[in-house]
Amino acid sequence: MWSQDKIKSLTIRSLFLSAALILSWLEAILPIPLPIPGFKLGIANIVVLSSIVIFGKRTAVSILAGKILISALLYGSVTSFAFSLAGGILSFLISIVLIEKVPRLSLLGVSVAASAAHVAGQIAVSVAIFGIGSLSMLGWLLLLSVPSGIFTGIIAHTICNHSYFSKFVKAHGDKS
Amino acid sequence: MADIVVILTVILSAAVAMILPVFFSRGTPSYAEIVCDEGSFKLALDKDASRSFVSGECHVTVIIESGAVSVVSDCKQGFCMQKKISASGESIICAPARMIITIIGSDSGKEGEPEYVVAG
Repeated sequence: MWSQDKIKSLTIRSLFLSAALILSWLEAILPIPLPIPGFKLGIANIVVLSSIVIFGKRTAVSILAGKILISALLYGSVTSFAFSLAGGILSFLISIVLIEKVPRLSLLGVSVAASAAHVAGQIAVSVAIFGIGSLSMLGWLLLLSVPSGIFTGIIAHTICNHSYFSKFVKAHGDKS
Repeated sequence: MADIVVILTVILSAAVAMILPVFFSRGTPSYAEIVCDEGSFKLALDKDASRSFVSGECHVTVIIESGAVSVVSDCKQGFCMQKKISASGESIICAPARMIITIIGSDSGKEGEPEYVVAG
């Protein structure tokens, strides 16, 4: 029989996955009107970044994997899955390394680096699919990753500093 | 402070990524190379023309006008329609149509006159 604490913890983690799915769905149906194909603010990264801090990397990676797989199945395509997977994995790895190895860096800085890594991963897939011409978008996408990273970083920082989640980190975070 | 270093590093990387193609652009723009589901095509840039393609989920028309390439598409996002390219090495990518249009320069090392070439 599961304890009340375990049920509560599982429910909150499920809510985070649902939030990530809703945010990536919103991004899919409300594309940013920029002359750069496929650019997204990466607002779902708010959830992944917050999950790393609140639950630890083991739970965060399951939320990321769930988000990528379920969003591809519900409203994506093979191409969008490849873009999402490459960008998601690269930005996740960069986030983990920076959070663990560079404690002076705030979530804002981590988020900007993760956003740039997400762009780099997507461009790498684009080069593999469409050819070297895709690199012409790299500069503009990297530049746009700065404001989008700052935006997601500020929100993730606000969520992680909320008193409820601060308590949750102490009580349930797996910090694996 | 560490945050500012990260932000400046990303901005610097973006600047390098934007400037590098200028140094590596090869000669004067010669033709547009179009790769899509229908195959691989070349359209000369020295005369105005347009050609329609059915690729991916979209009908895409590539327009050559005064040496510049633009696109009209019925895909739902329409990002590709907001870009006009005219320099060697520049690209328009229409992801839903699985189409990439790249301007090839005269010194690109790709031999032959611009012509329609079906490769698919």
